[in-house]
Amino acid sequence: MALPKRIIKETERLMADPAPGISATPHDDNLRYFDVIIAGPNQSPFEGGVFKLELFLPEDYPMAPPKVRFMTKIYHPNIDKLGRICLDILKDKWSPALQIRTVLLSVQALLSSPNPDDPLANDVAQHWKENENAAIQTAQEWTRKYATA
Amino acid sequence: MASYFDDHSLEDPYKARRPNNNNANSNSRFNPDLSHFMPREDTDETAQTPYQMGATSMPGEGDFRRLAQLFGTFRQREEALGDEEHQEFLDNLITQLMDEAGASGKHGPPPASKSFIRDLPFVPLKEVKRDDACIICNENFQENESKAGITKLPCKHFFDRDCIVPWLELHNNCPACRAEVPSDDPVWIKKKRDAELAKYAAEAEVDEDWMYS
Repeated sequence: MALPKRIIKETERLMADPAPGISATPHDDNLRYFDVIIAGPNQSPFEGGVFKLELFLPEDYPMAPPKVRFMTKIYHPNIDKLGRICLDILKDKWSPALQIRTVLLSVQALLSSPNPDDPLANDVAQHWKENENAAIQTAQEWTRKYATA
Repeated sequence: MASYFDDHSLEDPYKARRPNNNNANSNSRFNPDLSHFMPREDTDETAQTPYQMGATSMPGEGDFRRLAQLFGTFRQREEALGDEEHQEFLDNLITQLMDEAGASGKHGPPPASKSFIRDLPFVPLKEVKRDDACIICNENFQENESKAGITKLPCKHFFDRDCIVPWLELHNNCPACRAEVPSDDPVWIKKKRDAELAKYAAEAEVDEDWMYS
């Protein structure tokens, strides 16, 4: 099936005018599959880290959301150990007005503001609620250990 | 390409079930889907997802669910052996399959009502501003005239009909502002009615307070 025009346009814009701290590159042999890199936002426990993600546009995109997953290990209450992300716009709050760019900006924002009240990784969320400072310290350690090139 | 069964001089037990097996152009042999690994429910046509959008070999929701159940059975057997790492692996696999089963279109609000979609207005091109684009396909309305036309939702957001109809067939809200439109979904209708009743009740209470204060 030919690649929809919208996907081609989105890809061109992502390459020509990338969002700050985010890069997304489609695979040569599958233009629906993107290698994504998000830089850990300043003043977050992930600062200085470089996080790899995969993004896949399903057949029914943009009627269905992209599938996004962290490949780099990360200590975050809304990201589980398989790298799956708990973010409403990737599920029931998806709208076809959203794009690859806006999705990745939302993921970047999630790194700046972890939300332990809506957890995906329960033990991490628990840690975050009980002792935020210690949890942040673990997140910084993981960033140094797993997310530095 | 020779199949596993050819290589091993075996009778392919699933041969009869595979579609287009003798068609040289068919790529179904190179792209097996989940149905190759499990029995098909021939009678249950309704289990197919309603909006296949031209995809013929996409595994359906039921396929993922059955595969998850299959692994569930493995997991139960493994429990007795007490291999925790293996169990965790199976847990993750099952969770992912269940996610996948629930994924397509199942998340989010119900479809818009059939009558709402049927009665979507036709909007003349001159009603749309020069540089307005449909936010679903990102194409400028003026430059992109050849399509099925333009429509607008009650919230006054414009869309190409071709773009908004497939969305409304899945969900009853506006992609731009999430304003709700009617649905035929019984659960949605009930929720809506309950909310309205609660509103009237609250208003009645306010009136009473005002009368007696």
